[in-house]
Amino acid sequence: MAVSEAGVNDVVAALLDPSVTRIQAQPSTAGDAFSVSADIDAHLEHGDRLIDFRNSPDQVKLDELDVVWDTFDLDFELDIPEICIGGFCITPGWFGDCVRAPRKCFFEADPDLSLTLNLGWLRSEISVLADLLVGYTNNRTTDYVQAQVDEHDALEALAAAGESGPVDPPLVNSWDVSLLPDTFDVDIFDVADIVGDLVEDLLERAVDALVGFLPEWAIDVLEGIAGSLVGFVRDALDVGDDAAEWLSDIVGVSLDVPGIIIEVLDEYFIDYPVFRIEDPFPVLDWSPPLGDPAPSNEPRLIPATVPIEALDVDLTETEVVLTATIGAYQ
Amino acid sequence: MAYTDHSDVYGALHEEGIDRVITHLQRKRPSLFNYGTARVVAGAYAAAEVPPPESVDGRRGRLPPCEVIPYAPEVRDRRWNNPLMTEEDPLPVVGTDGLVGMDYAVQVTDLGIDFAPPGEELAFKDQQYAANASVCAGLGCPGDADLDGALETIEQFRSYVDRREGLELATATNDRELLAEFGLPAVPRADALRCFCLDVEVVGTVSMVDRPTVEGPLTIPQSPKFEIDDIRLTDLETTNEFPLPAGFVHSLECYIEVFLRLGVFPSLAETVERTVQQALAMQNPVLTLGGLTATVELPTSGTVPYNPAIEEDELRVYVDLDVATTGGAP
Repeated sequence: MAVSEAGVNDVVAALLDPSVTRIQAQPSTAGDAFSVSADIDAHLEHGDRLIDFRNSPDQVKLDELDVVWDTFDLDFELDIPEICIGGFCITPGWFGDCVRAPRKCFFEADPDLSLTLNLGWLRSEISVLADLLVGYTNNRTTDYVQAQVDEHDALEALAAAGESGPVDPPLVNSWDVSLLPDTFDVDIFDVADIVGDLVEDLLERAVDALVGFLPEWAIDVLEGIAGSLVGFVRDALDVGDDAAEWLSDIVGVSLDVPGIIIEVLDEYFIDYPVFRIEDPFPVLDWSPPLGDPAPSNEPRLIPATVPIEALDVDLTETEVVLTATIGAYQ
Repeated sequence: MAYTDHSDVYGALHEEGIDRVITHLQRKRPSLFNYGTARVVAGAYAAAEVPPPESVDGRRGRLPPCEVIPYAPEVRDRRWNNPLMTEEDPLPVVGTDGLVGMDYAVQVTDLGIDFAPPGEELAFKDQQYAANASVCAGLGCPGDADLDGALETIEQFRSYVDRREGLELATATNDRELLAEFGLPAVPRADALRCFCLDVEVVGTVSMVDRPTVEGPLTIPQSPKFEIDDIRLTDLETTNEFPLPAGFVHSLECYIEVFLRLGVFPSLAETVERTVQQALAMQNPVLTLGGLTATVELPTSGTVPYNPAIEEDELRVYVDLDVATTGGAP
């Protein structure tokens, strides 16, 4: 059997259609001072030729697959330790108490700050280079008669329970053709320069949200205690020198967004074989089929199956060729 | 030139692979290839040195079949107790009102597909195939004493019917209980079957017929259909050595054709058709997982005039896939 690269592209294109494949998740991470959660909903877009067959060595390249973020919101929550000014004793009183200066506390709420950063405008890219491998899955005994007993018993049990087959997991061995990724790249930020500015803007918005309503004197007092307010918030959020790297770490490491994308692709291309052929291969089912009543005094005829001795796979620039060898009866 | 120059998917079954499928089928469904009367069935189990099923009554004698029946061990496993032969009624003797029959066996011992003309004298038309079969048959010819016994039994029966008022012979010969009382139909014993084997060649055509089936996520609107166009004896050496009247040869060919066409061929063709169909269905876990459906189309064109095509010892199919999404991520 041979399958063309164009045919595989048609199948993969249908598989990646937004109605079938969406990347949806709400990952979150919490530190000492701040927590961040994400609301993610994305679909995949690609050109006409997404899958590229290569034959030296035999590899499949999935190239220029774009992640389009329909929603990519990062919600930050910042809890700043309470800062209080005033309240000190001006004059001792007659009875051991004192006359105190007015007291004013800042950052009493929990959290003190909630801000959303919209990253939905980003375009992210994925590329995968994978080997095409043939493997053999053993889900049942290799003893043919015992395997038939197991299948018979399992199907009879299903029938007794009023259910129909197939047995899940299937009691079959199979030749599987699977993709094993050699490289799996997810590039979340295709415009890193802008990301730095975005974080600076976030910090300014944060400061404004925290102290924008305070009178000038109070801001002066706070800056007297905490230094630059932007610097203060930057420290609270643990933003280092490179703002873009900070955001990249949150998205890429703390929230593991690339891992979420890879998991979706894994489900289709890695966790499951792209082609499977049962061994032995059934050519005639039980007669009558298990679950159907057998005529009185007549036996149920066993299924006829043929062994698949070998499965070879060969990749060319234009097609993948699978050759199955049917074993001779021995 | 790539296999898939003219389609998304290309599939080919080599005649050697089909022959192996048939051999497995012969071993696992021997009753599909071996037919005989009750005594012959009992004789088959005795020849194979295996205990017969309860339904086989060996008390009326045993006659070994023409050829020992090869079978897979699981056929006679006590859990399934599958038959080695299909039991048939005795061959009625003309002129006895069906009251006397003869033991017989008919066995298809070898069967193989040939996608290329076997000789110059047999030029194939487009898309024809040949199936070479060896058919062995034998009749149990009774001795004089057994014939006399059978004659005596039917005379007693006829005399009884004559004596009974209002009982017609036609009615009596259909009364199973009455027949059983007289031990009818009588099957005079023979010492052995008198067997002969003939090589026959079946010439047929493979075509696609509208027969929509659904194999997992795939809809296959058409299925391959193997049909018989002609059948002829090819044991030319034998017929030359012992010339037979042409009418006899033609009658024999006619009977074998009817036997193969109605008895053996439907199940055999179903097996091969199903193998082709399952190969077309390409058990594709990715399609299933993605909730995709696909319709298989077998296009024809100037470059692919026949689909399926019989070429170079192979049955070839050229398939286009029309993939559709049903919506809903896994």
